[in-house]
Amino acid sequence: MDRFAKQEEPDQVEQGLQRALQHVDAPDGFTDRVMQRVQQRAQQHPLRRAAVSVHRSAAWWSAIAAALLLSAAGSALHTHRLHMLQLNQAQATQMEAQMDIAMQLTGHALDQATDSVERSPAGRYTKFLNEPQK
Amino acid sequence: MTSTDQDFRGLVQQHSSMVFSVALRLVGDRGLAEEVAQDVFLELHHWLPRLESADHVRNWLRRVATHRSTDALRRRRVRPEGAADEWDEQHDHARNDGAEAGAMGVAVERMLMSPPIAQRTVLVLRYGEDLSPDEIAVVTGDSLATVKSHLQRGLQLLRRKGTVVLKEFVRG
Repeated sequence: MDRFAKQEEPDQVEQGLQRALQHVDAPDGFTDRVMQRVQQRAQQHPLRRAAVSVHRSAAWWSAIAAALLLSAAGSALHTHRLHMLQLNQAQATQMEAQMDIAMQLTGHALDQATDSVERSPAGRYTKFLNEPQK
Repeated sequence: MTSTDQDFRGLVQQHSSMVFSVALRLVGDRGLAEEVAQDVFLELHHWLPRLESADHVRNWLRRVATHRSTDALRRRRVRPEGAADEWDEQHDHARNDGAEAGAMGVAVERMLMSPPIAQRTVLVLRYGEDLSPDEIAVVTGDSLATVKSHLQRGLQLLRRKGTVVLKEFVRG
């Protein structure tokens, strides 16, 4: 039930509210005081008005500066992380290349050792045993 | 609309009662209410060239008075409940010995300071300014459902307190 939209008869509390909330006059001299402030503001030097305006907007500038600072810090952190990632990738590539060289050297050394073994008397005898009999 | 001093003075005289009353009922302190009302009219002086009609001016004043009063309460952390007694005393004096409203009105006024500011704002706009819930929603910037909820809760609270006050009033 939307009693506010239906404009039902107000009850005692509502009637009391309507009566208690009737407009009251502003204090004596209110209009003069407002006009005085209006004129004071109009007579203010433009530079002073600008200074007041800047002062009032100082909070906004602080907020903007804080946001920019946070943004710059975030950007720097991101760049640092990217740099570290690239460094790690370069190190990994270098280590892979070193590993390849090491493997090549080891393979070469093994080939030489195999040759030496095969050329020795024991090696020749083993080769003879392993060869198929004609 | 021109904003010559004479025209503007006329506007201040025409609306000072409404703006001051809204501020007074929301902040519960005559000094602070006058300060808020003056600030509202200074702001009006600045914005006047952009307001298109008399209705526009009245609605603008009502809306800005409501918001500036709420801001003033938050900024100064005034406790209207604490200032209610002082306000009643000053207010009764200003009302020509309270003859218009009587004891019931004073009791209701005191009760009105007890709901939270959001509910009090809606109550002041509904019963002081005679606005519909839709119009209140435009002034406060809340949804219609929120306005109705504040109205119901505020009235519930006042009815609960009202029973006690009325009993005390009858007993006294």
